[in-house]
Amino acid sequence: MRFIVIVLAAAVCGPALAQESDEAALALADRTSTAPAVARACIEYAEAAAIDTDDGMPKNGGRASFDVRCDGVLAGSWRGVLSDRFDEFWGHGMSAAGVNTLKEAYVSYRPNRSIIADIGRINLREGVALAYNPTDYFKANAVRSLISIDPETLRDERMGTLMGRVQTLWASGSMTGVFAPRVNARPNDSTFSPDFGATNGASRWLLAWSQRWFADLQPQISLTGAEGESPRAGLDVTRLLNNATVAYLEWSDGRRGNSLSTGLTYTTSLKLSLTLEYEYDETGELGARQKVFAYAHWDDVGIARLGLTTFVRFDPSNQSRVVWSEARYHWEHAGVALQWQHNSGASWVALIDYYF
Amino acid sequence: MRTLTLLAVVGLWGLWAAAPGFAAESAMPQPQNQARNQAQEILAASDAIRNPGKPFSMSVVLTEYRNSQQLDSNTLAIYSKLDAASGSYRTLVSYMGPPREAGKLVLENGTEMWFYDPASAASIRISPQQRLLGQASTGDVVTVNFAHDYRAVGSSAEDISDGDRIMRHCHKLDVEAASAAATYRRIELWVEQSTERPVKGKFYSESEHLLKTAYYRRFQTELGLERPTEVVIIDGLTPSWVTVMRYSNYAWRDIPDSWLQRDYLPRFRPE
Repeated sequence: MRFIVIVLAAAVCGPALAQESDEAALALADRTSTAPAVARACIEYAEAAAIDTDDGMPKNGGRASFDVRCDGVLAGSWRGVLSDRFDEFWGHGMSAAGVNTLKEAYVSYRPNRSIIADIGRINLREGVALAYNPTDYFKANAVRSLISIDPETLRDERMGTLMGRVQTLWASGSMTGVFAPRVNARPNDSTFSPDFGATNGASRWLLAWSQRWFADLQPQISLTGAEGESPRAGLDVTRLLNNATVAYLEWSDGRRGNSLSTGLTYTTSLKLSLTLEYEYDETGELGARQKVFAYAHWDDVGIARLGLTTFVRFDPSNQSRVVWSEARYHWEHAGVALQWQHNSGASWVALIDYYF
Repeated sequence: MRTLTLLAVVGLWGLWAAAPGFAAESAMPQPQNQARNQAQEILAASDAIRNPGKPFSMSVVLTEYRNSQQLDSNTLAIYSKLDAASGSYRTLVSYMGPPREAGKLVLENGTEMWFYDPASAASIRISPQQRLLGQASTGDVVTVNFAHDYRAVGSSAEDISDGDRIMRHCHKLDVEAASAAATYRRIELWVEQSTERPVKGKFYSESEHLLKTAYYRRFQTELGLERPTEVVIIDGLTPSWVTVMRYSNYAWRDIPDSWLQRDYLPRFRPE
C-alpha cells in the first residue's frame, strides 16, 4: 500500500518532489556532527530474563547475566583475550544458582605477519553450516549454562578448549595445527569451576588447511583425532550462486560414520534471509539420522530496529519438531526481546539487555 | 570423450558469441563505440577520485535518519586494497561502535563476502544482497570501482545542483552492471566535467526501482587528492530515510594479502 501511494505521488509531483526531499536530506547532513567511536579493549553487557515454561507442569523463574569480553595488546607481539559470563538462575520453589562460564582466556604471540601461536582456553569454531556443524570438532560438552536452543546463542555461550594452536597464513590460504591435552579432572558443575574436565576429557589434535583454488572457491580440509578414536576427515565449502544466494556444504567422515550438513541462504531485497539446511549423521552426534532446519531472519520489519527470527528443526523419522521464535528491538545501548519455544512443551522468555 | 568435450566447448563459445551483448558490441558503429569508451574513461577517472590506488584505511561514521530523527550511528574502520589481478578492491570492514556491534567484521573479496562475530567466533558466508547496515548496503560501505563492476553505455551533458546546492556542469553517465559483484542493476552517475569529481548517483534495482540517490560532497585533500569525505544517501522508496556516511582518518596502510581471507578474521585487530 505504501509503495502504491508513493508511486502515485511520485508520478503526479515528479521531479519537484524529489528535489524537495533531496534538499531536506542534504539539510539533515549539514546538521550531522557525530564523531567516530573509539576502539575499546573490553565490551561488557548485562541481561535479565523472565522465563515461563509449561511442559505439563507450569513453572516460572528468571535469570540475570553479566558478560565481558576483552581483547588487547599485552606487550609488543603479545595479545591477550579474556571472555567470561556469569548467569544467576532462580525459579519457583528452588534456590538460586549461579553458573560462571570461562569462555576464553588465552595469550597470542605473533613473531611475524604470517605466523601466530596461541595458548590457553580458545573457542575454536570450525564449520560453515548454520545449525549443525560436523567439522566443528570442539563443540562437545562446551555449553555450561543452557539458556536457549537458538544455534547462535549456543555458539555465543560455549566454553573454549584448553589448547595450543599454531597458524600460518599466506596470500591464498592458511594452515592450522592444534593440540588439546587431556586434563585429569571430571566435569564440575560448581559455580566458579573453569570446568576443564568437560572440554578436555581426552587429548585431541587437529590439522586444518584451506587454499584458494579459484576466485570464489577456498575450501577447507581438516583432519582430527582423539585418544582412543580413529581420525576423522572433514571438508567445508561455500559458493555464491547469485547476488542473493549462498550455498554451503560441510562434511565429515571417519570410522564411526559420515556426517553432512548442506544448505542454501537466500536474502530478499527487503532484508529477509531464509535458510534451508539438510543434516545427516551416522555418528549419533545429531540425535537423529536426518534433520531439516529452516531458518528465517528479518531485519527492520515495518519498524526500524525491530528484528524477527524463527526456526523449525524437523526430524522426519518421528515427525517431531522444535520451533523457536524471537522478536527483538534495540536502542543504542539497551535492547528488549520476546522469545517463544515449542518442544515437548512451550516456554516464553522476555529479556532485556544493556551494553555498557 | 575428447570429441564430446571439444563439441561442448565450441557449443558454449557459440552460445556466448550469439548472446545479444556480444552481437551488439561487434555490430556497434565506430563513433558509438568511441563514445562508450570515453564514457568508461570518465567513469574510471571518477573512481580514482573516490578511491585511493594504494592500500589504505579510513574511518566511516554512518548516521541514519528516519523522518528527520536520528536513529542509529555506526562507526566502521575500513581497510581496502586494490587487487591488481582482478581490478577490484578487497575490503575488510571492522565495526568499532556502538558497543553492541563492536568487533564484528565483514570481508569482501570480489564476490566472496564473510561476516564474522567475535562473540561466537563464527564466520558466515553472506551474499552481496545481505545488507547489514540500514539503508547503506555493504556494497556502499566497501570500496567499489564502478569501472570494474559496471559498464558506461551512454553519456550526455547536464547541469545539476550538487550536494552543496551549487550548479555543476556534468557528464551524465548511464552505467549498467557488468559483473556478478555489482550491487545494482543500473546507475545514473553525474560527474563534473572540469574536475571528473563524482557529484550525484541514482541506483536502480533489477526491477528498475530507484533504490537510492547519493550525493558526494565535502571534498577535501586526503591521500594526495581532493576526495569526497561525505556521501548522503536518500532511500528511493521512502526519501525521509537518509544515511550520512562521513569518512575520516585516511591513512596509507600496508595490508598483506593474507589478511583478506576468512581464516584471518578471528585474528584481525584494528591497528
